[in-house]
Amino acid sequence: MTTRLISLGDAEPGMTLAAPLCDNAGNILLAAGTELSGDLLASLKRRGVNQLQVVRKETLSEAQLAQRRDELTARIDFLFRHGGNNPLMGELRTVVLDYRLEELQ
Amino acid sequence: MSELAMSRVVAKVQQLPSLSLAVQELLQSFEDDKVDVAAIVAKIGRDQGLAARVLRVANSAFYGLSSHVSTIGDAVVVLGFYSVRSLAVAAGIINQFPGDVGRNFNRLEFWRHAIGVGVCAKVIALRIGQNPETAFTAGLLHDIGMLALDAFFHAEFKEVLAYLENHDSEVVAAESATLRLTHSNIGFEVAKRWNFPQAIQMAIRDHHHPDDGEAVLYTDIVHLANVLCHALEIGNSCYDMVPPLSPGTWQRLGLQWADLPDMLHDIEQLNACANLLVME
Repeated sequence: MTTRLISLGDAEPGMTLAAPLCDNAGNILLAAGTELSGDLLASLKRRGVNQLQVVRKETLSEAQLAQRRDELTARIDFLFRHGGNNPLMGELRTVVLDYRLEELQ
Repeated sequence: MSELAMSRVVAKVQQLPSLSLAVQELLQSFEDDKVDVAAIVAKIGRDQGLAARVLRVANSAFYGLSSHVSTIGDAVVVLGFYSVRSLAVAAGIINQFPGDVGRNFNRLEFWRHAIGVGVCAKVIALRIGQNPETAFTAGLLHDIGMLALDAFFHAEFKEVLAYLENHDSEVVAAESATLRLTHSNIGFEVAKRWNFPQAIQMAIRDHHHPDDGEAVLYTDIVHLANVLCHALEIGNSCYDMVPPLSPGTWQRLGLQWADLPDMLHDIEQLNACANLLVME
């Protein structure tokens, strides 16, 4: 995972924090891995934050995307391997898989 | 295969050191009509380690970054007593089991899972209009029996882990096959010893079999929260599979599948901040 340091002004909703973010007094505001929403960015501005370390989003080729999708699906299948005859598990598996695949985009 | 006698468990649990006074009073307050907030706030404030952990999460996006709070008193004003209470209980209990990373069972991953279930429970409670902070606390504590197994019956626990690996079974099946006891039974003993609120005691005991006891709200919430947490792979409580979701729970909670994607998103967002509770 590569990261880059950006100013708050350059931050956009959807970016992910690469490192914990602290305010000027050194108090931790957000943990690494937090996805930045419009509301969060507005709050950070009010709290006097200037810079953020964010994750550099990789652009994947079609082939790489397809491979990631396969890996994801296999992982979800593995997690749900004991679903058996429980109809709820089939539904849940679909919801979770769709959620994860959505994130890939 | 060594059976684990309940009498041994009870005896060991009786020897557990008491929780700190502040945490005891906080747990007591779940079932009190009148709470002396000022007195409890003062007690949390005097425990510096506890206060520091609470403030760290209170100041994070877990509570929407409302405004910076430097004292427990401020935190109560800004976030409300319930929120501060659930954070303090979480921090207090986590502190009771000092970390032991690098054994078969990873404590840090365990707490990540516990916090994850707390967060899932909180999101579920918010969606169905129930107390999110009680749900968070119940979720956080649901697997405390597993921690007790690792800490006090380590040899027996290793047998369970070996069985899990060899048979790829569910954890309760592995425990029943090896010990004749489950972490839910053991957790219930710990919960009684430490006077956890009734609703939380029952959630700890019944979260794998919510249809066996009386249908209790927080048991259902924690049951679903545990399923979701495993599906999202938040932390690791020694088995990587999604446990079966009880149709009874699903029906009683009244959620729709369409509700889930937003909930999953909220869970992952909140979870990023909640993990500040395990930081030193």
